[in-house]
Amino acid sequence: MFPTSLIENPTNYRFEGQDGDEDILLLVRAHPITNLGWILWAVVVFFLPFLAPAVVSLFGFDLAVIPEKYLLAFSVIDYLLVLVIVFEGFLGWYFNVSILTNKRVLDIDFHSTLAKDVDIALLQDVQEAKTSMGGVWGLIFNYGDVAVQTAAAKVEVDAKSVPQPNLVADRIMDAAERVGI
Amino acid sequence: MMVEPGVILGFFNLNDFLKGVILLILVFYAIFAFVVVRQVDLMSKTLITPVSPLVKAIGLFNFGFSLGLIVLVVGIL
Repeated sequence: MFPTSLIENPTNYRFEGQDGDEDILLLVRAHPITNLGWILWAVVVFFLPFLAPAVVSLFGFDLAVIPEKYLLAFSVIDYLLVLVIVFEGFLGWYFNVSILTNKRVLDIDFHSTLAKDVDIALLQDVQEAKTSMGGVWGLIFNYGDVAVQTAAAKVEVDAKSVPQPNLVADRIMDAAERVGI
Repeated sequence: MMVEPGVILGFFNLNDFLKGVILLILVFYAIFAFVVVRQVDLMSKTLITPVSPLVKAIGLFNFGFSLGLIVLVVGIL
């Protein structure tokens, strides 16, 4: 089954540094519709080998001068590119998550290929959870950002483009109330 | 004088040039595929999920495939 964006009480997920008595209450990642950008790119690149002869002929170049095996090699490279776009797109979506446990809120971000950023806020330090929704897509598909504010001046944990941001903020505040803010 | 197919201006061999370009792209791709293997490893250690083994397998397959393609291109082209 295709992974979902909002999972309550997941039993088959764990994260690095999770305590033995720590349970995941909520796991959220960006709404699936946010993947549309790289999916469209993958579709365009997938069809490039079919469009290329027509495009280069506009510039007066004939692909017939290139041996067929080289054209085949370029097609393989094109499909490797499709594979990269799809794989990286999926990884970027699947592993960038925000997690609410019975002890803390975490935001795990992989900014680039090998850069990891984990923001953690203890529930007893949480002061408020703010939501913001904007844009046509956000309103149609009901997704937005959730920012968790602690006693520190800056926003500690920021979950981007998550589905049902109000529900996520509510769950965070409920969990924070249980630990006694 | 006979001119070999693909030879332009008597000295520039289009086929050799294309083979070089293809090999260069594939070498860069193999390096990138290796980085992706490390990336997947890092991600899977940070967040342990049901799909982690599958994603790792895809990353390793991708890297192996990229190395195989280099060998194939050297042999065939």
